Amino acid sequence: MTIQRINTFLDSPLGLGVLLVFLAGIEIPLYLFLRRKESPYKSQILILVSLVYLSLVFLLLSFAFPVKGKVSAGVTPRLWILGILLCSLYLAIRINKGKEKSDPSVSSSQSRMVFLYILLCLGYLGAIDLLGFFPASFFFLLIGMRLLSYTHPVGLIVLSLGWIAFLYLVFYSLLSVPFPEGILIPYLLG
Amino acid sequence: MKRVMKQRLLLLGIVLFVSTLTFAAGKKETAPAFPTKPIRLIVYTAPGGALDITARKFTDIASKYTKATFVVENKAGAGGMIGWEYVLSQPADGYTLMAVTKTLIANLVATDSKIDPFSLDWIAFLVNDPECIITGVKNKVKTAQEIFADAKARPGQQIWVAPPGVDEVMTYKVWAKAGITGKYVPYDSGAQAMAAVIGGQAEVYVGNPADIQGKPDLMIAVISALKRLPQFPNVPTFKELGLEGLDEESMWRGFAVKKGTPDPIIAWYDDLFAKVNQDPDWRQFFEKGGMELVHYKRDKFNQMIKSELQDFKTYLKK
Amino acid sequence: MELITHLIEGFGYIAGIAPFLAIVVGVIAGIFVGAMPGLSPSMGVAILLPFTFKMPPLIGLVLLTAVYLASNYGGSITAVTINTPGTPSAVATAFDGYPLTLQGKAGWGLGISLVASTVGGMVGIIILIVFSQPLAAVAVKMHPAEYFSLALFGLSTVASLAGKDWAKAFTAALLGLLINTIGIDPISGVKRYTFGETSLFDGFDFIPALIGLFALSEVFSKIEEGSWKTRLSGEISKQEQWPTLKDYWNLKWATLQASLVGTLIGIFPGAGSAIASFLAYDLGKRTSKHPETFGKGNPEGVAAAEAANSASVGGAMVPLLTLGIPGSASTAVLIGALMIHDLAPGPLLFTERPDLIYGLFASMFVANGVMFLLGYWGSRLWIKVTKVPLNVLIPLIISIASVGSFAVKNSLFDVGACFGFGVVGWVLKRHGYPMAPIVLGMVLGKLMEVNFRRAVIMGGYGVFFYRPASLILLLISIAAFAYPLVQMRKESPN
Repeated sequence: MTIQRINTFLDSPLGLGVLLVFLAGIEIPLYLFLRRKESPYKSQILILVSLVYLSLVFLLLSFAFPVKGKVSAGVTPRLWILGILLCSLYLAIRINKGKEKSDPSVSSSQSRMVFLYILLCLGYLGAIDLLGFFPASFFFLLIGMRLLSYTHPVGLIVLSLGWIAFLYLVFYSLLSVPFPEGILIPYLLG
Repeated sequence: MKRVMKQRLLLLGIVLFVSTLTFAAGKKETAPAFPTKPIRLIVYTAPGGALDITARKFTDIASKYTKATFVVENKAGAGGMIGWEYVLSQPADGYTLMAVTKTLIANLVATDSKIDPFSLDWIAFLVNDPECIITGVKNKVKTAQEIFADAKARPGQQIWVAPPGVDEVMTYKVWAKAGITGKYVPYDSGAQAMAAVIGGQAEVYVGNPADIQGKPDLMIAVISALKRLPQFPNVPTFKELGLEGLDEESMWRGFAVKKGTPDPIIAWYDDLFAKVNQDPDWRQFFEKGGMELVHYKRDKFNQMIKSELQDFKTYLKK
Repeated sequence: MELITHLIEGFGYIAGIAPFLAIVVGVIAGIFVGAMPGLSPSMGVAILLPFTFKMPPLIGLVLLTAVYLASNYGGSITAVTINTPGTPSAVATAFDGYPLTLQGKAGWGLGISLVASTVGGMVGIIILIVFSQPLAAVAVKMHPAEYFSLALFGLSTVASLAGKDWAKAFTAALLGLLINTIGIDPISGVKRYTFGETSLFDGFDFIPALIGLFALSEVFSKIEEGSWKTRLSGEISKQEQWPTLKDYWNLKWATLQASLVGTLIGIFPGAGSAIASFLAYDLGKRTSKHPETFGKGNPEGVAAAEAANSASVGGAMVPLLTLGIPGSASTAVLIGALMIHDLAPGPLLFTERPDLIYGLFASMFVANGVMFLLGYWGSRLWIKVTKVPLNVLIPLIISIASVGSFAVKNSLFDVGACFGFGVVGWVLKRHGYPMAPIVLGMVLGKLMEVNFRRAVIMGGYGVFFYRPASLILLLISIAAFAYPLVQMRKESPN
């Protein structure tokens, strides 16, 4: 009864949020701890913890699936979860014994560029919703190339515009893909 | 005299002209010209399926009767709920038309969706595709009598295959009325379910007459209709077999708009659908597959949705 | 003999400007659609479907079949050059094709994929024409138990793909399988892990996940490597070297074997070209003299994967034409094309409209030839992509990834999902978790689960063992899982 209620709560957008906050609550202290210990497996341990956490959450949720028919909906996910947990255990033992390959060493400036790029992608997604697909893509290409130190100003503009024109002609006109128009421009134009 | 006449005529002309103008202007205020831009026809399945083809056929035929342009847009996903939510996110101005089927109602019930079934105004019911029971000609169990006898000889063992939803509910209904039991095995595509019947892994497929077109390995054992269809004169109806209350089981297709769309626009659609419904191309395209073409307008259609919701709730939620 | 006369008549039906034009347009569209991540073969066929409404049925059918045929090749082009499989069936092509590009041998990857596709396509068509009747009779006998065992056999590919890090490879495969359970359960209709989000009712769509895991994760890795002003490979001068006739000839057995596997798997309605190419790749690796170089740029790997997915086209047409049952998503759309002309696909067409059937067969040969010529010319053009510096290529790849993901269902959710898979893929790949098993898990997950449960409903748990075909497949799968692991133990006991 209570498990059912917990699961009904978790299986909602708010529940997903709570689950993610929980994950962060586990991972951030763990990260700080591992950094202080200078563990060579910092990221791999964090990945394993996330995998185990994901498996356990999915396992918990699977008990709320209504039981219908001969093989109920929860059986298959539970089987895969069991497999993931076993593999994780094996990997954890290997890490503990120091047998696993250690994390790749990458300079922080290089990783920072990846994070910048991931942020840029998220911004692009938001911009598609707000500005519409074509303007958002234009700015994305401009900033994207600039970030990777492509500096030629004419090249930047020509490449971005040319690409947009290609997308417009092929996907919008020819294949009539209904790209999002964005909410800002129709709103400003009334 | 003549000059007076001419002047009067001129005057009359002017009066008439001005009055038509004002009349037209007045009319414009109450009923704005529709449509002034392309109408998007939302199809809730992927391109290429039966509904998609129906929708495209409709736009093709409609272009004979109206200058309005229809653009088919596929918004597939979540059994149609994605498309439905999309239609609701658009203004109720008649420029977003949705192609709908009975499966949509089944999926609404099956997914416990929070969408209000009457957030759509169900304005036109056009194609009525009777449900039927299909067997394999090379299998042991072929005719309706054989199906029922076999099911009674080994209760709960006979295998019925069909996609979940409308055909699944039809399965349960037939079992209930005929007093038999079997195993229902869901297949997500009708084609694969039919392959299972041809291959002999399953005894019965529940579908529609058009399913057996071009497939000599399959036959219709019994059809849900008030009387035998002229296209299939050898196929008995449920009533002939002594099963009552299975005469009007069908899969339908039609159109809906968002609730709150102004009446004059719906009247415009009513007019267009009436014309398309009478079109010989349109009729021929569907009738050869055993489908019945009708045109039920919003009042009757909305009533039907109500009773069907009830039906699905009884059979899918037990 | 009768067959040959029919076929010659078939060439007669398509002799003319209009059919030829339809083939050329179809092949061009097909290559484009295939190469575009996000536009799958079935979408390509569906997009062109409305245009065929006004054409004579034969021309329409010829056009759409040409699209279908060519799109299975087209997928390999982007898979080889930018690690972005344009179609799910080109995933296995990327395993060895992209490493070839990184080694500065893109010409090899593209050349072999084209030749293997053409050969595979031809083999598929010949089998379709000559053996379709008996093969279809076997295909419909496939019980869900056998589909399950086949899927399990497909999954055993992980064991041979894995290499030393088998625990990570298995975790990746299981993760793919678990991701696959998200959405409405197709058997019981229960919602699983949807978190109240309508977009998740069907689970994560395969194509955005694929683009994210392959293209975006690779893009992020390239960004992390830091040398943005360079190109995909330092050795540009060699990129445009093409294999010689002798090189192609050396791959003949790998190609033929994969073509047969591809055709056979293609025949089963509900298996599909992606599974065909995975299985053929796996078989190619197991039978190769140099299995250790698979995944590191072995031309045999490219040949196996590509021959198989092109051959599966012919296979998928078998149940369509002999039984009226589509063998793949694309052939399901072909049914629509016939329906619109008041024609029902199935064996009756052979007697009622032989012009259509034999014209179609003939056109498939021609389409394959046209595909080869256009591909030959096109890949010499396309290879210039490897000359584009990364700081231009990377934003373009991300942009095309978002267009492709959006186009699948016209949904922004899928674009977000694609980015998500990209980030997760990058993190996992960085720490030794391979991407291919995740994709394999996602391809096979539904097939396995659904057929397992169907089989149990139909015949109880024993059904997998008392059906001989299923038992044999199960035993082979177990051996296939165990063999590479045992082999590895022997080689490096640690």
